Amino acid sequence: MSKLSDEKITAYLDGALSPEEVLHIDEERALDRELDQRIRQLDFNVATLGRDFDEMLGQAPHFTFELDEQKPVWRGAAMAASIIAMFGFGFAAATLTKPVSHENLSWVDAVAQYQMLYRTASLKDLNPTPEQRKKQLSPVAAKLGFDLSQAKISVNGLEYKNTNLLFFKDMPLAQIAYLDKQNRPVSFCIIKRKKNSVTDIKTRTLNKQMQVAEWSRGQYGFLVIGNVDKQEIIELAKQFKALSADL
Amino acid sequence: MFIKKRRQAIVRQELRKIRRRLWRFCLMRTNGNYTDADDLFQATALRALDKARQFTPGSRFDNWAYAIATSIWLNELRSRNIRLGEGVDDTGETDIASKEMDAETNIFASQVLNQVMALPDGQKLAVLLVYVEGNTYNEAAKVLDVPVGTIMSRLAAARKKLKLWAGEV
Repeated sequence: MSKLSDEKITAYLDGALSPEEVLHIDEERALDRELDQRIRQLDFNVATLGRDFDEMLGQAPHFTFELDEQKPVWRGAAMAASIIAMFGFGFAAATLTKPVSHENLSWVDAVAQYQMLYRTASLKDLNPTPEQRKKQLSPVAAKLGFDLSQAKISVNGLEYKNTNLLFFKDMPLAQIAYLDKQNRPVSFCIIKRKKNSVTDIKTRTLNKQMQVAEWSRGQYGFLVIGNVDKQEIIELAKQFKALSADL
Repeated sequence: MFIKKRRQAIVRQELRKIRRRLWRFCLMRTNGNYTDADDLFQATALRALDKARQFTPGSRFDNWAYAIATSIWLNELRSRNIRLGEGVDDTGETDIASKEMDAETNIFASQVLNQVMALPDGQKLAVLLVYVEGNTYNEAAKVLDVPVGTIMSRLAAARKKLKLWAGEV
């Protein structure tokens, strides 16, 4: 038999060959150790990929535009498509994007909307003393059942400004506000949820400017968010994550 | 006019059914960029409605929508390249690795998924279409507008890398 190509071996592993071809390769493989080795090099278990990819489906945002003829956004579909052709899809999509409905809002979306209201001036003049800081953090820590001592919320590059106890769908949510070295508002948020999960740091951009890094451990979901550089958010998230590594 | 409206109603219904999978395809297509994926999703939905008459009821709607997304995205990439003065890349698909594997910035909990995302664009899309979505080589080739042989080459290359990264060789 002439040397099998990788493509042919792939088709063999994918079950895309005729029974005769499969039989032929099976026979060759039994006699040819090199061929057997090459087949093993390509024999990755693809059967479970579907399960892995389901993780992505869970990340799909709640697209809230109703595909309903009564809604103006879809009545203008044909015109919008023309706009796409003329100006590129970024412009058209931006003009047609509707805000996320409250019903489908995730806690990250909710925090992002809140964070958008912050400007430097919102936090600049807040300079709590250590006692005031403790007074702000203690009740929030008690509600969350989470250690919010200074050592657990202090990272390089951020100056502490304020803490709010918020609630998302009755789940307690701590929002700890900081200014970074360039006086840009950044928040570190912790939510206590009913279910346990463990995820690594994931980053994304919301509303084309808000950088988000989120992760989870046990009952707690964590989030660092701000209108700053992506790399800065990643670095801050790594620091905060390291502080809660003992969970 | 009546036919167009009827076809649009079908397309709307199909879009509802596949919206999460279409968004996943857009996320893969845009190399994991969530903002671009959201924009591409919406542009694809709009284009699908506009071209509703071209959809044949009974055929695979998902692949039809994926092909639209691919066409829009490749045009967008060409526009961006022109805006950046980098000329037009008519190869359509790139075989340059999308990004280095970095454990700290992996965006998915599944290690395998992060590894697939680290494959070159053409390879990871072939993996998605054939191994996850269950398309034949021919169907995947049609969606990505490339020859069948290219799909097979990409799958072979992807298999080899994934096996190597899994440390099973």
